[in-house]
Amino acid sequence: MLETAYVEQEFDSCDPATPGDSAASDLLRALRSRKAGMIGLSIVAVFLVVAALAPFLMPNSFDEPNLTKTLQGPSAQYPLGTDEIGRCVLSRLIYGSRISLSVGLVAVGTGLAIGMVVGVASGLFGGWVDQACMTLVDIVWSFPTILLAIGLVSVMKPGLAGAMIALGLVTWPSYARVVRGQVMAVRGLPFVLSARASGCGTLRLLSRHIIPNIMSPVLVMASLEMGNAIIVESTLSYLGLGVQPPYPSWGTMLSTAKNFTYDYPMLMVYPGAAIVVVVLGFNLFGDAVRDALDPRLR
Amino acid sequence: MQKRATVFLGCLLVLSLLATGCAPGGKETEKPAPTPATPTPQAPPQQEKVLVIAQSREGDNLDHIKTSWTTGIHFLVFDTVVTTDWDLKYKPGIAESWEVSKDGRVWTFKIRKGMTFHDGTPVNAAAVKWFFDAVLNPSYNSPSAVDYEYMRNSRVVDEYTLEVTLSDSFPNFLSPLASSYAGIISRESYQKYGPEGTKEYGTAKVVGSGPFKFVEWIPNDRMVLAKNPDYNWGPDWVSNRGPVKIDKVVWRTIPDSSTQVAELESGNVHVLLEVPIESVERLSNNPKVQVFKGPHFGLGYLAFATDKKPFTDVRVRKALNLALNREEIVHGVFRDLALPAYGYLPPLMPEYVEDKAAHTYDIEQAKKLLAEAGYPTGFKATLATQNKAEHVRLAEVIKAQLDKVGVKTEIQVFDSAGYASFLKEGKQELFVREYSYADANILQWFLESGQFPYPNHSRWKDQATDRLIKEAETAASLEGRTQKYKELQRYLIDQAVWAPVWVPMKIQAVRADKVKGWRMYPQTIYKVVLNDVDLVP
Repeated sequence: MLETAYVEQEFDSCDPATPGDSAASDLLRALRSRKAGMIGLSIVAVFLVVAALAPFLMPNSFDEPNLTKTLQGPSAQYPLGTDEIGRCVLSRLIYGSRISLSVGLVAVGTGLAIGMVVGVASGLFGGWVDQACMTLVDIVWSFPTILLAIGLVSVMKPGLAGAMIALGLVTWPSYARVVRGQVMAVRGLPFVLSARASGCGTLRLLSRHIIPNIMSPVLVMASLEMGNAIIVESTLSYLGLGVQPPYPSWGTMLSTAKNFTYDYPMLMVYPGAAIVVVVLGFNLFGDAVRDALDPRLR
Repeated sequence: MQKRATVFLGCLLVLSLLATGCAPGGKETEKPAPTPATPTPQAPPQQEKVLVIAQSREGDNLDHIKTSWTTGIHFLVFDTVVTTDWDLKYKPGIAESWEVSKDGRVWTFKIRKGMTFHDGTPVNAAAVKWFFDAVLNPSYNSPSAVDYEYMRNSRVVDEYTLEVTLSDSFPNFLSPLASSYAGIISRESYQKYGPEGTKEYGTAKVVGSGPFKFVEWIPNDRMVLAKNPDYNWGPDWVSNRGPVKIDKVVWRTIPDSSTQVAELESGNVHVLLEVPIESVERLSNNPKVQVFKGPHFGLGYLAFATDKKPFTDVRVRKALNLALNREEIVHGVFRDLALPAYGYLPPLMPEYVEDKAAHTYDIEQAKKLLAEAGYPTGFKATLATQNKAEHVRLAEVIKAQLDKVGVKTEIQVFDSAGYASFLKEGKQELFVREYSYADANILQWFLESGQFPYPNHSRWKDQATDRLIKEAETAASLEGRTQKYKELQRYLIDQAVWAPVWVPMKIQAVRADKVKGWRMYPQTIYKVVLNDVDLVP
């Protein structure tokens, strides 16, 4: 049963891909037929637009305190009220989307890129390459994530860019592990062997045959990791290693709001909800992308 | 099929809950025994009275000879040579009286009779002398040694008389003797368990002569003290001078302040020594909780690296002082639970000098001074702070206020260890600091050139300041010292060495339904006086 699932892909194994058959059009086709995927895509798109146009969408300045109007509820001037020093919560949320989304995307992107390279090399070549890569994974993994991230940011220049890269540099081993396992699972399957036998080069073998077949769990992982990265950023910021006040990120807004949990819970709800919705969006979108790319599910 | 499984699981859950509820050792046994209507001498011993106090952090050692860490423990386990009463006046402690020679150099202390350490050894002149010598012993490298830098030698005249000779007149000599670093440790125990013994002192053993005995310390969890039944030498400024009324004190370490508040509300903790200002209103509305507020011996200020441009220019420092709107900060950032600061010391101190004009918001004058100094459009600087929530909030407001005179700042946030090393390395430009201390010599600590580069983090090396401090500390009398410190403060205000911002308030919350006789001690956060405190079930 399992083998026939891969067979479809095998027939056009070494033909040059026709333009209409590209991954992008596959993706769109798959998304159109999946409601959840469309919702996910819309959420992500909306947030990306908000982040891009942040300066034009903010009703107020995100860093101008108004000490006569602290911790107020929603009003015409401040649609979501004000924070502990009288800044507009909505404006901070909007500006924060820039920072949090870039943190999520860059951190996950970096981690995913490194993890893919290491995992694929490890799984495909095996032998000493595998051993070396996995030793590296074990070494990186043996450090507590946050601790290693703190160390890396301290070595680089503390700041947002450093924090984003550092988060990528500490999370790649989990991707590498998963990718390696998947590659090892498919590399011995008949469609891969036959592609190789029909003269497929390594790169083409990877891009047309192996990677599309291993992406499902990786994409799910990546979409979940987004939320994680957004939260961990706030830890780094708290230690002065990430985004510095008065610049807002959802994570830092959340950790500041923690002090007001009982009396002004809404301060915590807004950034928390933003994170949940974005992660949900990426997750739904990731699922749809997986469906579109995974030959087994077509 | 699936439905039936769910029902079965549900039943199982209910049963297991019932089972735990009925298990022996559950709530049933913890109920306090009903008190008999007429208490008889044969009545069973009452339930142990355990007072639980929350603390946000604990040090790595309780040996106050070797570390400068203070906790509430030090005020409860030890007695000091002199004590300070509720108004911070010096009162007898281990010494029942003292005399000073005319030249202010020889101090004679009469030691109270009948006191014993928790290990049974007597408290006498030799015990006190041993402690002074231990602090000054170079091999212990004690951070408290600076407190006794004027001490030349101490001599046991007879068992209950100690004579201390100073190198100079030092009218403030009683201040270090009353501090938390000056609790007299039992010599025998220190030699047995200290650095020359089993090295347990400070972690597993702490031995003094105070109202409580040290029981145990479980790191990052709790410190436990038990009543000293032999104690009958309470100071004359408490009502109950005999053994304390409670049996145990547990200091629970709870780093997160909102958790502390929740624990107080649920009754697991009786006392919070530091209440986060955002919780004050809610706790005040809780009928079971009493909130104590009072001015605190502390000061929060914006400091400058005075050896770096443009902060070398006194006009720039004055301009920054005028650019801050302290009243707005106290209201908006501290929710009126602080006072605007107009001087370099807490207003409660006799040495305090204030100058409102120099510390009042005047944006035009600030701009004018900046222009005179050659910065008509302002300048850029970094603004560093520790990651304490209030300080970060304050830094954000200071940034916005300085923006208005063209001073563009970039905030840098540090954790406490990172902040200390950042200041030691001298990388600071503008930075937020807060001290909590009840002696004018805090100015010596922070601003004397000998303290450069740390704790003199303002990098203030100034001969006039050094001279005034020296003259104050070696004045012939306390009044003379006070006058000199006043002169020093007027000079510092004139030089605008700091920008004082706020005077914090000391805020404690106590479970009034359980704790009786609580009184807030005005000095330092962790000092508690429990002689008159009682617990009701």
